[in-house]
Amino acid sequence: MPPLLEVQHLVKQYGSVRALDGLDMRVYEGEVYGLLGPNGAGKTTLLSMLFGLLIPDSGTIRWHGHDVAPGHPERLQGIEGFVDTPAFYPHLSAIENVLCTAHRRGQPLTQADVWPHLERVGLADAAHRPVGGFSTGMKKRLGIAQALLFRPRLLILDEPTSGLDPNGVRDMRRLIRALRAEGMSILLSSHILSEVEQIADRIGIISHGRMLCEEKLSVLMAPSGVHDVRVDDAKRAASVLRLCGLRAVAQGDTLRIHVPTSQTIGEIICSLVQHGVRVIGVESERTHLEETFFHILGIRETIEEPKSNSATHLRMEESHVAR
Amino acid sequence: MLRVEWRIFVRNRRFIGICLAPLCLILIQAFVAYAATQVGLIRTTGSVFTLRSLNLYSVLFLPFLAVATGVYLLAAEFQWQTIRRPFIEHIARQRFLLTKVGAAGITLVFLMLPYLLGTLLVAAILFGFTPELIEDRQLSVFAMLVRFIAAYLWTGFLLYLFVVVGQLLFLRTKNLLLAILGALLPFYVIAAFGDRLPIAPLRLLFALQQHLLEAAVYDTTLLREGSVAVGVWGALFLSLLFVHLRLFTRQDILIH
Repeated sequence: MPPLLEVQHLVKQYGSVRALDGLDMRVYEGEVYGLLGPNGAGKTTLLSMLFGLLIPDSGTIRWHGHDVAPGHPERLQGIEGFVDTPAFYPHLSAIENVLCTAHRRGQPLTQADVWPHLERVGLADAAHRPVGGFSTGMKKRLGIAQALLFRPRLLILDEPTSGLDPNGVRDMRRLIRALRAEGMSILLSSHILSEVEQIADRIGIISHGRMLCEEKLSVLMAPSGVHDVRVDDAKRAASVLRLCGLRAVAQGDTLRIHVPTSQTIGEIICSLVQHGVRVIGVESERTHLEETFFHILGIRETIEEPKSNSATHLRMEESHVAR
Repeated sequence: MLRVEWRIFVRNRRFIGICLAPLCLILIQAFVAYAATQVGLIRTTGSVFTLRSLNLYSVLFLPFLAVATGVYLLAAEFQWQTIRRPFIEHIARQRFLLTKVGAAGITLVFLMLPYLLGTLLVAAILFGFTPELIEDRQLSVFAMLVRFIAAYLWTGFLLYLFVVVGQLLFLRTKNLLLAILGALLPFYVIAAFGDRLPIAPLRLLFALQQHLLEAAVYDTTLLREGSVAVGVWGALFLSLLFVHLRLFTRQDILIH
C-alpha cells in the first residue's frame, strides 16, 4: 500500500542549527502515527513543513502520491489540524472563528453545520464566547472541531492533550480512537509516551532532525521474553527449570524466567506441570514504549548534585548512541 | 477573502478607532476656523476650509494612518498568532497576500472618503461655497471642488504604493515601527523632492497633484499627463507586488 504521506530527506537549517537533517517518514491510510522526540528534535519544524508554513532547504513531501512544491499550502488539501496551540481571532467567538475559516475556504457553512463538531469536542457551551478567554485546552479542542469540519484524510495534532484536565485527556483519547475507527489517518505528536502508547499504531522517533526509528507499536512493545510465574513450590520449580537449561530467579513464590526465543512460555509451563509443580499464575512482561524510547535515543538518566544548590536534580543526558 | 477580512477587522475596536479618528480632526478644524471667523481673525470660505483641511490631512495624518493601518492588517495576524491559520487552511500564499494588499486599499478608501465627505459637509454648513478668484481666474464652485477632489484622490493613489512598501517591510522585518518609518520616510522625501527627480515620467508622478490643483483648464494635456502618471504608477505597483509575492512565497511563516 503506498503511503498517504511520504517525507523524504527533508533538510532545514536555521543559521548554524540543523533542525531537520535528512528526515524520512511515511504515514499510511487509516493509521494513528505517533511522532515522538525530545524537545528540539525537529517535530514542530516537521509539522510546520507538512502544513506548508516552512520551506525545506531540500527534500520532498509527497502527499497522496504527488510531490508538493514548497510554499504551496493549497496543494495539501486533505491535511487538517494544528501545530503548537491553534490560534484564533481573540475578539471573535468560537463559532465565528470557525465560520471565518469556512468562508475563507469558500464553503458557505452555517452555524448549524459547525454546531455538531463543537458538541463533539465539548465546546457547545462556549460556542458564543470570545476565544480570547479560552484556555489552551479549549483552543486545542476548537482546533480539532475546526479541522473535523473539513473531513480531513490526515489529521495532524501537535500535543493534543497538553493543557487538558484528566477528563479532557480521556475525552481526547476517545475522540482520536473514534476518528481512527471512522478511517481517518492521524499524525500525533506528543511528549506523553503513555498517551501515545494507548492510541498509536505506528511510532516514529526523531532526534536531532533525523528519524531514528519508524516501527509498528506492536513490534516496539513486543514481549520482552521475561515472565513471572507464580507456583506452589518455588524451589522445586527452580530445579525443574535448571534441568531444562533455563535460568530463573525466585522471589517468594514467584519465579522470574527468561525464556529463550527457541522456546515458548507454554512449553515451560507444561514441563513444570508434568513435574508436579502447580502453576498459580503467569504474567508476561512487555517492553514499555518509554523504555524503547529512551533506549533508541540513547538517553541515560543521571542524578547529579549541583554545586550551587543542595537539591538533587534529575538530568537527562543524550549520549547519541542511536546516531 | 476580503469579506472575511472585513468580518475580522470591523469587530476590532483599535482598528475602527484609527479609521474613525480623522473625523474628529474635521470637527477640531471646523471649531477653530469657525471661532476665528466669528471673532474676525480670518475670513474663511467653504473652499478655503476644504483646501486647508484636505491639505493638512493628506500631508500630516493620512500617510501615517494609511501606512499604519495597512501594516497593522498584517501585524495583527502575527500578534494574534493567526498568521499560520490561512496556510493551514490551504489558502495560497499569493491569495492571502493579495487580500491583505486589497484590504489595505479598501482601508485607505475608508480613511479618505469619509474625511472628504465630512470636510465638504462641514464646509458647506458652516461657511458655504461661493465662486473664488484664484490667481486672476474666476473658478466656479464645481470647478474648484473637482480640483480639490482630484488632487486629494491622487495623493491617496500615490500613497497606496507606500502602504504596500510598508507591508513588504513588515513581512521582512516583523517590526511595526521599522515598517511604518521605512514606508513613510521615502514618501515624505519623494513628495518633497519628487519634482526634481531625473526621470521625467517619475517626476510627473509626483508633480501631478500640483498640476491637478492648479490647472487652468482640465484639457487633453492634463489627460495625457494623467495617463502617463497612471501608467508609471501601475508599473511601479505591479513591480512592487511581484517582489512582494515572490519573497512571501519563499518565506518561512514563523511567529516567534
